[in-house]
Amino acid sequence: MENLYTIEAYNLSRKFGEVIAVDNVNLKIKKGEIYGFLGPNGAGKTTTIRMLTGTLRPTLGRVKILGLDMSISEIEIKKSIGVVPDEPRIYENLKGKEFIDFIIDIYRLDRRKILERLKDLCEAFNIDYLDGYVGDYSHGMKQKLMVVSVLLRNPKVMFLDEPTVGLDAKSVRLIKMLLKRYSEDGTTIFMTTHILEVAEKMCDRIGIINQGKLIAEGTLDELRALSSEGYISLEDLFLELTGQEDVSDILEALQ
Amino acid sequence: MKEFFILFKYISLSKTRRIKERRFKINLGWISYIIPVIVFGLPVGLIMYRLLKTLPMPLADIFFSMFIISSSFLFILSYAPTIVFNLYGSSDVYFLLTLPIKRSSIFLFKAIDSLVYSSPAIGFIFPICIAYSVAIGMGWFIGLIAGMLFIVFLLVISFFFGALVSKVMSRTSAKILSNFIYLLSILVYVIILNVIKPDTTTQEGIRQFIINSKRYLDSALSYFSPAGWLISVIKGESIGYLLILGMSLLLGLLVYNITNTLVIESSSSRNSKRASFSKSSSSSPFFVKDLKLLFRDPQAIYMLLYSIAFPSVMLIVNKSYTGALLVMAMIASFYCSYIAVHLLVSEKKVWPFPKLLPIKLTSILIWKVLIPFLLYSFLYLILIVISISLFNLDRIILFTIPMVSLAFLYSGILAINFVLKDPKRDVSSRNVFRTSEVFIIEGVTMGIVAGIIVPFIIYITPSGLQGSFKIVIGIPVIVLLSIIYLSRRTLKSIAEAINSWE
Repeated sequence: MENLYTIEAYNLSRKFGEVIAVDNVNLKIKKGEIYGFLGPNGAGKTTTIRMLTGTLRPTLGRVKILGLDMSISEIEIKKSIGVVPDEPRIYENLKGKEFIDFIIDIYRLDRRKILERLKDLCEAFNIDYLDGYVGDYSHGMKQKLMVVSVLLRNPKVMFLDEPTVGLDAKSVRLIKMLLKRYSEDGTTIFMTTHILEVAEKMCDRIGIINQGKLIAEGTLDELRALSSEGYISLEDLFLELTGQEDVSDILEALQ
Repeated sequence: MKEFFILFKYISLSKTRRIKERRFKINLGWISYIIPVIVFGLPVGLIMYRLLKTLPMPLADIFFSMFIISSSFLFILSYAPTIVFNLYGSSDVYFLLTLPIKRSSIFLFKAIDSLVYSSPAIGFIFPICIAYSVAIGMGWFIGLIAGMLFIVFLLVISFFFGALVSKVMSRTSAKILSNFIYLLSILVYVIILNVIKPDTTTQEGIRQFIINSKRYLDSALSYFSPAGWLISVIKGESIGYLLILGMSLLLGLLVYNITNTLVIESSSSRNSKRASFSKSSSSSPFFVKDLKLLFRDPQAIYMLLYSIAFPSVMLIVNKSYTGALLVMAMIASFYCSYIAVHLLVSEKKVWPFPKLLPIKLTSILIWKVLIPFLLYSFLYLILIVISISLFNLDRIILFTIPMVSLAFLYSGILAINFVLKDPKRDVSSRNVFRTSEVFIIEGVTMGIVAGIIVPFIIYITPSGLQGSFKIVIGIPVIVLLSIIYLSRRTLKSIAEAINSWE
């Protein structure tokens, strides 16, 4: 029987010395779902993504992607997932096209098909700089290259950590539309964002993490039901749940 | 100009902070620029004074201009690329661009900030001018003034070249080129010093050398040459002042104009033509990628070139083929570790990207050791083939190839192990090793290489131990077994370290 969930995390925890970055997080995300993972700075979002993508070992707990256990089938899982990290770090002395060549070879992709697909993606994202060194790119240019290098592989699961940071308005809209289309085609998308409007419009379900703990999870309506104040917007709800809603004193002091 | 001084104050503050972090409480500021000048300049000045005082006038002029030309050449070659590197390599440039200051001020600030790396070359010019001035009876003051004027002139020329390079190249290309020119100039200088060796053992030899030099330096002493201008300043001729000041002013204006329109922040990488991709796939993408990165790193190219260039000079000029082999193997064994770690650091800089790839970390790491091992083994083989074909070196030396290659392999393994055991170390600077690690790598690898090659050299030397083949071959075999034992131990340690790398 086919596994219902593509991303599963059981009692996921990670300690850095004495600091508990992620504390007993449980996740079950279905195929084709767009899951928004929200939280204030330092809440444990990136650490969770790193554990889900196999770049950081959990202190406790288990991760399963596409039904495969990360501790056993790490390489197999990595062939099927695509990750856009929060900081697009790419080899600076490689040219953009050489980076794409590298990705094609590492994932053993069909070169002819991929290059056709790359042409369309480059046009869509207005990428005309692949002949230049990555070291000369701006943050946005690197981010677009990273996004394209993931999208052209058609991964079954995508993890995107703040994918729209540093991008122009057109690229942001394009990413939003593409992610929607990918999810309709069955790709599971796990994304973090600080732009709550993006999460509100795009995500099927939202998880809110604070101080390492998953404090709320559900659809937007389910989350609204949790609000004691009857908040409607995700921003108000998020600030209430993470205990950051009272900024009036600060504003007063600033005036 | 005011904004430049504010920026300069900011350099001093950031330098003080760095010193404080090292638990010293001295604000070096300007002193950091002067210390190398004194350290390098004082002994040179004294030696030059004694030398110039004993020489008759034309010879003193020739000697003085020779030193000035070579020092100026070295200074500009090292300083101009450093300016470009500092301008593009500093992380604070983007912040500076947001401030309401002219781009020429940012350029000048970055140029002066990088002067500390080239100040030893200036350290030669100042005392040489004073020594010459005193030696020809013009007094120290005019030498000091002339030296200052000439240094301003050299600074402006360097700014000019730095600005031109910054103007025409992209950030990455400029960084690669500037490093390459700098390292190449050192290499050329070392080779020249070895190739051009005048006979200084006899009076006649020295006289012949100076006469030959004069032929080439006649033009250097004319009014078309900056060295000629400097000499005329020291001799009190106003034309010299006019030429140096006029040229400095002209170049200064050009620098001001070029740098005010300098595009520091954006790249020149946009290209309307479609990027061409390779048609075939590679079965070892990490090997291909690492080779590309390696050959785009000037320091790595320098390490490869130096290991073969310097021994080649020994081989061809001095006919010291055994010495050349030993020196090459020793240099290479040490550089192998540097290149291996350099490749490892390239992964660390994009971390955690390599860990997201569907490939085991050991498969990534193996190329970091194999690439320098293969390259240096190939270079060693070339040197041996040349030695055998040109100098009829005993073919028994061929036995050293697998042994020395294994030593290169161990050098890489040892270095990788050091870095993996302490992955949190600072990888932003060029030298990622601690001092103790450098000593260990140098001591162990050079010792191993010497242990392999020296017995062979002793064996093939005519007065050597030709009869005791078993003893001579026995030592390298013992060394070889030690390498195998040490490599196995280090590889075990690496396997443990990889598991905790995240």
